[in-house]
Formats: sequence, structure tokens, C-alpha cells
Amino acid sequence: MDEDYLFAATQTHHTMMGRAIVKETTLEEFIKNPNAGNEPELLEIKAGKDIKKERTENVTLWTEHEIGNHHWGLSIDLNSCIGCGACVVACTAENNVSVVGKDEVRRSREMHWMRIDRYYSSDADPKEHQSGDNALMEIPSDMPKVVYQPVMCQHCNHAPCETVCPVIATSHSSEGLNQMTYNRCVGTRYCANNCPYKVRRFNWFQYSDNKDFDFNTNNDLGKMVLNPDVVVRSRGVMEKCSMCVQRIQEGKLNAKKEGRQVKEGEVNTACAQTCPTQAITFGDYNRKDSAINTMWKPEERSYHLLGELNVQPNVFYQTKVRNVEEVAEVHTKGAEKHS
Amino acid sequence: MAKRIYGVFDDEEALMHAIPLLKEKGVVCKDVQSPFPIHGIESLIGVPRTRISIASFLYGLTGTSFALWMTWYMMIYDWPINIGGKPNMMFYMNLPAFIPVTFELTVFCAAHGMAITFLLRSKLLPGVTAPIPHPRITDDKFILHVDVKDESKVNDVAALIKSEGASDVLLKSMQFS
Repeated sequence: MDEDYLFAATQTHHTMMGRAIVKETTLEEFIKNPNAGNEPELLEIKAGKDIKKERTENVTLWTEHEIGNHHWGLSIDLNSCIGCGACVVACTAENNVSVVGKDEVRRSREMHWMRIDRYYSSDADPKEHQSGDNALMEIPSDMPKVVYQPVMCQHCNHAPCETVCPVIATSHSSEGLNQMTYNRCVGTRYCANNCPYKVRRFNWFQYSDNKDFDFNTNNDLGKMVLNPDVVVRSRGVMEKCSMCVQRIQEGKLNAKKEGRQVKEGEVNTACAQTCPTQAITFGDYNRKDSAINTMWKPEERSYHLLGELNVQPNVFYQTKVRNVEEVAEVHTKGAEKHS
Repeated sequence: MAKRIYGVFDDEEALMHAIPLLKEKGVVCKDVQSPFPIHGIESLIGVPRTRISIASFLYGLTGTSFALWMTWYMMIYDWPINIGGKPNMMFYMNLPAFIPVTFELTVFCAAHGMAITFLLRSKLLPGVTAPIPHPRITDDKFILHVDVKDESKVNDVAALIKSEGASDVLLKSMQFS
């Protein structure tokens, strides 16, 4: 066995390098302080002579735009996520996301609109490696703790991707959605470079209709599987999670035809619908009684991914709480049995 | 109607020397055509300073105003778009983003307006034959345009020009056929 094989993997790093990308805490800590592990980033603001501390998301230089009748958002509970990947499959099926094959994945050209990040814990202490030697922090523990983090477009209200597009191919809707205008996109890929979450995908070849990428969408029979409600993107165009805008639109139009408001739960994204543990919740911030509104508790577990950037995402996460004591108990009991 | 005749000179030195002398004698020198630019000839024949820079400024101003109006109309008034949450309620808020457009349109209008004005004033447009009194002004001859008010004096003026150093005087232009 003296052969090399190049794996096709979408994630090639294993630890969070000592940064709190995924926020987590233990049950003990959480009972003591519901905000444990989710201490907010505070900015020092000068108000007259006093200096007050303000949460980053409350600080802005800009006059805010008006949000329309709806304000869509997603909540992702990292405590419930088991990293099964059903949401990724559902998203791929719903949104006609191209399958690109091993070779393209090796070149980091996967087209998935959402991904599940997996991070292992590391034994290395980040404080010891501030001098610049980060190599140890890249090595996960022998018995690592694992976190899964589904990441899709965060639909930032202050989206860095939108400001850099030279042709306004990506702009914000009045309902808080970060929209792509595919036929306006000229493929500069500035947006993907400016996205802090790396959720934008560039269509390098017309994967959907290309004899070199024979993954069933390039023949007549395979094309019948495509979702007719979602456009098939072409080559040279940036694409990303639309928060299932076709479903939102359908729900709104049905409600309009019947002359009523969109009901809570009437519209759902493919990922939220599919999640077996209901870790993903979709909803309308503008409804007072919506699940997503009651779930947004920044004083408890809710936080924005990379919140210190203050890009004001419409997607928020819930801290992962580990019951480490129970785990320790099981371990000691098991050890007693064996002895 | 004045009759135009053309003095043909062999070199620019002779031409420059002749013009002030002819003017002293009341000959109306209107223009000079030469194979290359002669320094100082404008002031000798009394060509006024060009006004194309004024025209250019006005065209540039038109471009600036058009660009400012256009960006305001498109991006603020008619179809405002929320781009990355940046405020676009008032024109001044987005003005920095519109500076490149404004600059480009200013330069575009100034340059094109200037070029078109120059061509119109020179009576040169695509398809128009350039008035060339003598084919050799593109090679080695220098032509002095002289207007004679009284047609009966054409021959006298011609003789005068010849006496001041012209090698020949054309009584009508020799066009290319």
C-alpha cells in the first residue's frame, strides 16, 4: 500500500484556532448564567463626557432602511444540531444546486448553498500561541469534543457583499433578504471575496448542462428532477442561499389571493422543513408572536455568527450547551464497572 | 463680395517676413496654410485666441449637471435600492459613490463637444472635402490667403505679393480632381 489518494473534502481545517466562532458552554455554567459562553461584544461609545458600553449590533453610523411587511429570518440552535447534513441535501434538491464532482471539490468549487462546519476542540491554549506559532492549535485533541454549525447566507442587513458589487447584481429586499440578480451578474466575484461567512458560490462551468460534469442534470430525464420554481444558474454567475425566496413568494401570493396575512408556519425553507431535530427555525421578525421572535434572546443563548463584525445578519445562532458532568459521570461509572 | 487670392511662398521665413510688410500696405491677410505649424504666425495674421476652452468648459458643465441629475433620478428618486444597508434617503448621503460617474460624464461631454465644435467651426465633417488651394501645402509650399475687396485691383495686389517674396500667386484655388 504505497499509494497516495487525494481526498475531496469541503472542510480542510479542523479547529477554531482558539476563536469563539461557535459559542458553547457547559450546563453547569448555563444554569448559573444563561448568557454563559455568549458574553456580548461591547463597544465603548462616547456619549458626551460619559463612556457607555453598547452591544455591537446596536451601533450604527447609518440611517436604517425601512423593513416592509415581512422581515424574514432563521434561527439555528446548535444544541439541537446533530450534523446529519439533511438540510444540505434538502437545499441542494430544492434549489437545483449543481453537483460538481470530486475533482471540483478538490479545487474548493463546491456549489452547496449551505454547509455544515465541523470543529474539533484542541488541547492547545490560544494564549500560549499568541506569538504567532499557531501550528499546535491546528491539531485537534485525541478525544475531541465536536461542534456542528450549519452555515448558509446570513442575509446581513449591512451586507459587505452588496456594497462591493459594481453592477448591483446583489441588493437587499425590503423584507431583509439578500437577493441575487443572476442576469445582472458579470462574475467579478468581489462579493464572494468580501463575504465574511464564505457562503457565496461561483459557477465556473455550466455544471447543470455540461458533458464534462455528468451528474444527471445534463440529460432530458435528469432535468425533470429539477425544481421548476427555481432558475438553473448559468456559467460565470455568483449564486447563494436565497432563503428559499420561491417558497416565500408562493406563500405571500397564496395569502394575497385569499385576502389575508401570511400565517405563521405557512412558509418554510427547505432546510428548516427537513431538519430532523428542528434545529433550524424560519420565521418573520415582524410578527410579534412568531417563533423566531420569541427565540431571539441575546441576553440568553442567541448570537450572530461573527457578531463583532456588526453586519447585522437576519440569521442567528443559539449557544451550544454541553452536559459535561453527565458525561463525566458515565465515564467514572464505566470505569468502576471495569475495575 | 471679396475675391480671395493665394500667395505661394517657398519657405516660412519669406512668408513671415512678407506678412507685416503686406499689412502695412493695406493687404488683408486672412489665413496661412503650411505643411507644419509656424510659431508666431497667429499673431502676425491676427488670428484671435481660440474660444474652444470656453466651449469645453460649458460642455463639461453640461456633463456634470447631467451626471448629477441622472444619479439623483435613478438612484435616489425613481428606483432607490438598499445596497448593504447604506442610507440613500438624500442625495448627499450617496454622493461619494456618484463621483466617478460624474467625472466620467464631465470628461466625456467636454472632450466630445470640443472635438465636434472644432470640426464644425473648421467646416470639417466626415465626407467634406478639405479646401486645399494648392496641393503642395501638404509638402513644401506655404500659402497666404489674401482677400481683395475691389475685384479690379486683383492684379495689382497679386503683383504686390509677388514683389514681397511670393514665388507665385494663384487667382483661384487648384483643387484636387
